[in-house]
Amino acid sequence: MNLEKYNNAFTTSLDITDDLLGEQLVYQSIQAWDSVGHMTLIAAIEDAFDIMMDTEDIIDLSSYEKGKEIMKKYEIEM
Amino acid sequence: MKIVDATWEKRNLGVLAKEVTLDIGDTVSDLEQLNRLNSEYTVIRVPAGSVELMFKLEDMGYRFIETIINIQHNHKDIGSTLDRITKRIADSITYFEMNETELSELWQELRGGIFYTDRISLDPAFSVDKAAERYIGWMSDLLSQGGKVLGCIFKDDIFGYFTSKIDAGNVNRVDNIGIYKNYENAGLGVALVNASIRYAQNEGAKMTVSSISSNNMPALKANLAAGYSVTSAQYIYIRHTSGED
Repeated sequence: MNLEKYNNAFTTSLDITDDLLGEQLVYQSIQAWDSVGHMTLIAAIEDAFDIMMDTEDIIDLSSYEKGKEIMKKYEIEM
Repeated sequence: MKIVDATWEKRNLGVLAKEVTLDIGDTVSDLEQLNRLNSEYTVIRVPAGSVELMFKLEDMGYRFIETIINIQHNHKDIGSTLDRITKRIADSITYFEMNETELSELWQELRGGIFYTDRISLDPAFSVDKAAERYIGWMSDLLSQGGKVLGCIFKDDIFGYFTSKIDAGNVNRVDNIGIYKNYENAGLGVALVNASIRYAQNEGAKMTVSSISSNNMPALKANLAAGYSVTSAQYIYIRHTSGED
């Protein structure tokens, strides 16, 4: 359930398909994930899990996988 | 047509350079003057939409390399265009005027290759290294002419910088903004642009102007998200010659 929410945040905010989700999905690996897209993505993740992320975590979330690790800090297991 | 002897490019790039700005009223026959330029590297700025001039320049051996998009921020409602996440980041960013030591560190960052979308980095006749030296020369000139280079801090660490030059009419010009290598994947672009506008407003500037290359769409998107509007555009053509052609 949490993984589905997490994946939806990526696919809807970056306008990508499920097949792009994975290790290869990192900041600037696709055109949509730039500084503007990053903020849209963070907002989508916060809304999906009803959390407010620390600013340090916002700038650390540089990949799909890294984001999963950061979510643990907010007691969200995938 | 305005032709400028770009003497600074001899120092920056090691070539004899001319910069030509075409006006809306210039005609194809006016371009014949370009054949008499004594230049190893010529840059032509063409008003957007001037198709006849573009085709003639291509016939003359000039190559299109980028569109320069000119933008403006009127300093009204700074921050109101920011989304809630960027606003949180922007609120925790501070800026300061860089001293000699911090400028030396910035030159090192530039030499490490933080820019790779400008026309010098992308041009096979030049390189990312040459582009870095050009930025350093550019900023050194700016400082000697009363401009400023400001560092930006997030959580006690410098993550980027911006330049500022406020003219007699209180218009601020930002010629260069950059993010340090360690932070290039942090999504800090919009907040950095916002900091540069806040600085200019606090210094009493009534507006800020800047220019972005079409080869750097993330930068254009970040500037628009920070509240800039597009004012005009120019096509940029270049030609390398032996200097005697």
